[in-house]
Amino acid sequence: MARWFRLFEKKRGNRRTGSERIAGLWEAGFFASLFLLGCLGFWLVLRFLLLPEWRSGKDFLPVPCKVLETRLGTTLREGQTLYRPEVCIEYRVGERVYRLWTYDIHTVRGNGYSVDRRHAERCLNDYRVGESRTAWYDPTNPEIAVLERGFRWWTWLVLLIPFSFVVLGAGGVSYHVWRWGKSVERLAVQGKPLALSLSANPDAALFPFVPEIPSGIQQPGEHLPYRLPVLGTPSRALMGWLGAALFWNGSVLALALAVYHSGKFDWSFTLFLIPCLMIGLTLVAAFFRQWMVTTAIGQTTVEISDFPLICGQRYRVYLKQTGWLKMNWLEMLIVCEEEATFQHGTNTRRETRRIWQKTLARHEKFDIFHSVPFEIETEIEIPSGMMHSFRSPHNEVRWRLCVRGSAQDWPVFERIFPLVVLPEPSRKSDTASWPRRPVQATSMGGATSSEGTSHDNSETV
Amino acid sequence: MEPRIVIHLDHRKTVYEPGEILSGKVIITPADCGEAIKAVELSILWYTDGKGDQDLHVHHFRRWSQDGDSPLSISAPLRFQTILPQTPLSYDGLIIRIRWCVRVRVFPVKGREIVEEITFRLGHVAPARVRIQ
Amino acid sequence: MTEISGKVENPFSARFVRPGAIPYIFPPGCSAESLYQTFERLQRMGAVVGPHGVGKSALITALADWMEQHQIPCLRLELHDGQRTLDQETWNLLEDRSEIVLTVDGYEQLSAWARYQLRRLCRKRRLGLIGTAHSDVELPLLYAPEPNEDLAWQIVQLLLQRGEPLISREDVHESFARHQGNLREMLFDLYDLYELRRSR
Repeated sequence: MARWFRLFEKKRGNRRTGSERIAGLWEAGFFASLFLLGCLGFWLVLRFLLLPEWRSGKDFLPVPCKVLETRLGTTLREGQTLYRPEVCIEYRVGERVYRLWTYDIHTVRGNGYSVDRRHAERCLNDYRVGESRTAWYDPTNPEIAVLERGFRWWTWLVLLIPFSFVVLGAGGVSYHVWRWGKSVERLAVQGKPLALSLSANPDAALFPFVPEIPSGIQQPGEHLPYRLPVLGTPSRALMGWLGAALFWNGSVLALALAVYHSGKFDWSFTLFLIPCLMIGLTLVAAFFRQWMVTTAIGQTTVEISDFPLICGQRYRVYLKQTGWLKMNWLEMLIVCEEEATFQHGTNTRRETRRIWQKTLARHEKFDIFHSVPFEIETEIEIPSGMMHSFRSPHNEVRWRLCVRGSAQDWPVFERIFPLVVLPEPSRKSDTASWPRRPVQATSMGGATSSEGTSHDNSETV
Repeated sequence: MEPRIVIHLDHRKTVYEPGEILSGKVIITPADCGEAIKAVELSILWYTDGKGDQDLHVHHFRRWSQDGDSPLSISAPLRFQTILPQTPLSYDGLIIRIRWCVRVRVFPVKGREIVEEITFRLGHVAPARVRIQ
Repeated sequence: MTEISGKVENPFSARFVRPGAIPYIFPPGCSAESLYQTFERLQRMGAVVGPHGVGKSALITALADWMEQHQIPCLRLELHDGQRTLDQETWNLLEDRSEIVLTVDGYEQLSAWARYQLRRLCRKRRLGLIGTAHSDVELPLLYAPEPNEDLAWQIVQLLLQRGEPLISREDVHESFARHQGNLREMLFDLYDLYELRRSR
């Protein structure tokens, strides 16, 4: 569904070389014309639809009448035939007898037509020639009388159209009046930021524009106090393939049943069915492959001694890898990346640059068994002077733990665990509300690799 | 004569710690041009620069404007003060930069607004440098 | 945002290279006015066609700015990624307008039906229509930007006025060739080169 986009929207930066004021005037004029149109439409609907209906319900007086005749009224508009019920009645008001064709107030006013013939006929079926009914007449003009009173439900819907114009127009004009002559900074401060704020009130946060702690972080972990959530779990891919396979094969099966249930064999449909079946089988195969990959590679668990992290501090990190694998290599890295998003014309361009990377551990040529997961514990130090985690609408500095591995007969896998890194406390900081200091390093945990070489804490820049 | 804006930071500092007080003054000359000025706005803000779309956030904002028929009083410097936040710190990255500045806009009664700004550093984050292999 | 005058750290930053940030450089014999005259001759319907990064958005922006400066009512629509249709409120708004020029950046993203409806509406309401596309669409060709190395160098020189002369003609030649005429990618590439040289 198309998003609503603001007309005359100023892009960020110096997109325009023309006058902002003239553009603003045009925009304000545009919304003002919307508002006036809406008011006009509103008045028209009130005057010619709602008000007559309201009067007929409130002011008209009852009078006994006799049904003389019924007919289906028709008219031709823009090449289409429209219908309405028409009932001829006779009634007396005072000394005078009146006879007219009527149904409701719109019929009397010369309208009341619709495309729905059946509805009109159903209305007519309620009336029998010769029967006595009650009509309601206008005391100010007894020549006008109706059999049906009250509001039609669609009249209120019609009212919504000009009402929306009024709201849009009024809103747009108010916005421009409020905005007129104000600078970018003033607008940003007055609750209408031109750049979005991450949280509802970043000025109230202790660390504005630092991403929130990712949801899914668990405390305590099995081994260390915090278990980190993983980005994009493999089970999602599995469910995705399953869903696609079920949907496709289910649709093809339903279609085949609908065609073949009569027992007749259709050559053309069969030819069409063959490639559909091939696609279905491919999806099933993809699902099973993903299932095997997920099962074989197993779960990657990373736990850490404290969270969020602080520049200049050390932390313990624990890794557990389950599965049934003959590993070529497995490594754990900590990385810091910049990501900048640029919307240029109608394309969004996203660029990522890795600015720092450190290999925390690397192990080669070992086996992982279902009953004996691979476990290591090591240490991270976030260097002083590094940039903390930062996120704004188009720019981000992010920290991550990556676990990558290569196993025989399986593709290289990678699991990413987002981190939040805070700046070092300054002398002026109120450290009472600062995250508590991390657990001090005591002894290195041992790796449980069965054989092969291992490398810890090498830095790659 | 067009007003001229000079922004001074107290103690001649250019590097600040998070949580520190940033204070200074704005001098607009000539001193008698108050009648020709409708309003003065001061913002202490950060913005990003680099390869991504620019993001901006105003940390502190102050506005001085004419009071009815009385001209804006700018014979004395306009003082400002705020406590700087913990984040985001100033940063020189490969494709992202974060800059803090004090920005002043003067809105004359006639003519276009005049803008002046000075940058300062918040924190001591080292510039990002990667050896390209 | 009002620009602060003076030197900047990297003149190839996003805010200096996006459409409209620098004056559009028309080839000799061509101008916004001449394009508008062509547009009038094409019954006020035209397309700006070209591959990625040749300056279609920049051109349509320059043309819209020129029209506004010359009191020609103009309405700018910018379609985002994957936007296949206009929403009902926009259609209603367009129904109420007449005699304006509608510029649609990303016209080809609309579905065939939406494009047909838009063209029909523009004819009915006497709206002018200029759209951008990467390949031929149903609109007559108004202009096809074809950047060359000379143009690329002119743009770079304009940008370098805000910075240091750290980029040479040879750099532009190499980058332009590497990106096969995609000015956008060339400028982002020069951002990195400028950054590297600035830090030495």
